[in-house]
Amino acid sequence: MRIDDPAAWIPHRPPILSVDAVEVDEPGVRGRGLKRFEAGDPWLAGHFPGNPVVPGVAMIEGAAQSAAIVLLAAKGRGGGGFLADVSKFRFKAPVVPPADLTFEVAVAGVFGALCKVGVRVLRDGAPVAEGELVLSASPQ
Amino acid sequence: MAEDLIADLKTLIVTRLKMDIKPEDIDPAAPLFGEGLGLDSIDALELVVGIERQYGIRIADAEVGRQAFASVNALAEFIRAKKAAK
Repeated sequence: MRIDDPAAWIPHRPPILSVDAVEVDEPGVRGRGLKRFEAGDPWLAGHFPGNPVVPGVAMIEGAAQSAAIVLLAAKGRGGGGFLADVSKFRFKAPVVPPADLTFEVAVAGVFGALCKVGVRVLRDGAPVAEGELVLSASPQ
Repeated sequence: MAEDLIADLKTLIVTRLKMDIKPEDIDPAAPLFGEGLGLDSIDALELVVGIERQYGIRIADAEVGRQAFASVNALAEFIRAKKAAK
């Protein structure tokens, strides 16, 4: 399934909403978020003046939002989620806009309200970042 | 055999959680969470992933996990019971 209205699934709004659409291969298991970064994107206003580079934290946030929607798709309804852990992230190349990024997300494990997600960020099919996230369905 | 599993679990805990202790320093009867080793819920998730990969045993239910993670001894007993039931 393809979700073209991520704001209908997660509470994030501009300028922090960091995914344009999500393709869900298997709800609750894997999918990918799509995001186009333009030079005028709010994430890039100060990063850096006259020399825009997509911040790593923007890619982490885009991946987290993509993963949240893949997880929520299994429940068939929108909701919240909290980023509980970020690990093993490596950024392989600077991402200069305009850039179409793909956030590939795959669930590696679930325990209670916590879910571990493997992430690969691709640009034109080539990995520009990878790492792991833990999302929580509750704030505690 | 039982001692081997306990030793393997201690090694899994130390390596998976990148703990700055030796596996043999873990008291197998001590609680893994809170007092004892002081692990948290994210550590528990990491152990769940490690146990599934190493032993092919899933622990998705938090209530089951609370019992299994009571101590290294409890975790070994949980894995032995799951393997026996397969």
